[in-house]
Amino acid sequence: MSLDKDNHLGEELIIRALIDETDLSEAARRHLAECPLCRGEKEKLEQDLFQFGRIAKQNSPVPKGRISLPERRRRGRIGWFWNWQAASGMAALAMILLVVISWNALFRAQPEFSMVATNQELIEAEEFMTEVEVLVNNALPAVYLDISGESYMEVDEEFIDYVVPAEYEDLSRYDDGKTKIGGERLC
Amino acid sequence: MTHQDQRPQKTGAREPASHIASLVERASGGEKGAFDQLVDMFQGDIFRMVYYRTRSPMDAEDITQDVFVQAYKNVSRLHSPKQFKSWLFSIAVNKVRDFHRKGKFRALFGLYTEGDEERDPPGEGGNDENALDIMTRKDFWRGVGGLLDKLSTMEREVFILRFMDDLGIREIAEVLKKQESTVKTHLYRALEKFRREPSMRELLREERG
Repeated sequence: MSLDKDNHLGEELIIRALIDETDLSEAARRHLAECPLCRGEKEKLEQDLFQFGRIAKQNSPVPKGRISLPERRRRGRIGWFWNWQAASGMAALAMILLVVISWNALFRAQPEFSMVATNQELIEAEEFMTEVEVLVNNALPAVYLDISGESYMEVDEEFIDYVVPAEYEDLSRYDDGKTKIGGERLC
Repeated sequence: MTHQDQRPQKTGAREPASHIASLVERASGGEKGAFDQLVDMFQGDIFRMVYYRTRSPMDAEDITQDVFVQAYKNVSRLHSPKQFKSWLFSIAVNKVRDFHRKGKFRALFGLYTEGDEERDPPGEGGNDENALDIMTRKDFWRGVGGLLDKLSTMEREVFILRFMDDLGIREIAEVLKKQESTVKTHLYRALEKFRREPSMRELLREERG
């Protein structure tokens, strides 16, 4: 305990007592309880400080308006239903988008699918062109082909060669294959 | 005549803690009426607390409004209803800090000067207030400002909370989120400086006179 020369509480202990008397030692507390001088000193300081607070309060304005609080949003059944509907709609939309994106991604990620499709298209186109070619070459119906002699078109080539030998075969016999037909050596 | 003479004010300090706690519990459950009662109890305290730190009634009005709106929105998160007052003051302390931070930021870019801080224009307190009252009040706050400027930020905060806002040591510790021993240390240093300051006694003498 720090007492001054007259065995009273010093300024430090008076302030400590003002802040919290229980922080003082037992001896200092006992002295404060018994000594009217020290108690008076402490009470005076305390009064001054709280008086200061009171004066500050008196010199302060008062709030002019009342606090306005925001309304809390209440979710009724309609609100919940609406939220549920909105959430479902959003989920469905998200699913559709997901499917579309996945579909595109799937096809882009697997080029053989597109290759298969392209090959199929080529085959179909080729078949179509063959049909067109047949029609161009044999425009007449089958009935008229016999009359026009077109039905004999598919006679064996060897038989034709036998009946009408090719001209270059004759030439090759005399010049040992050195003669060209159409700029091409025969052997 | 002082501002306080004009209108009586309720203060939460006079209400029993159990009553406040019960209102807080009801407010947490969504009962707006209960929160309205809490506003009635603490609006004056919070307004003054902000005014002490801003010295502008208009800013104090705005900040007090923000404090209660934030408290209203978050009251359900308050775990201990008994700590409502400390919690409310801690919101207010943070709002005041934000206010000063924004002020410094504006001042940095020349959007706001120190002169703008005056704060409390004549006649702000009411039409029935005469010029002498206004001058007396301004002198008082100038003196208070001079005294408080001699304290560090923490000493000043603790001192104002204890002797102007009437909070106990434990409440101050809760508001500032510090240990009680830390609060006591700051308060001790503040009181030491204050006691040696003759201007405080002069200020009190003038007011008493």
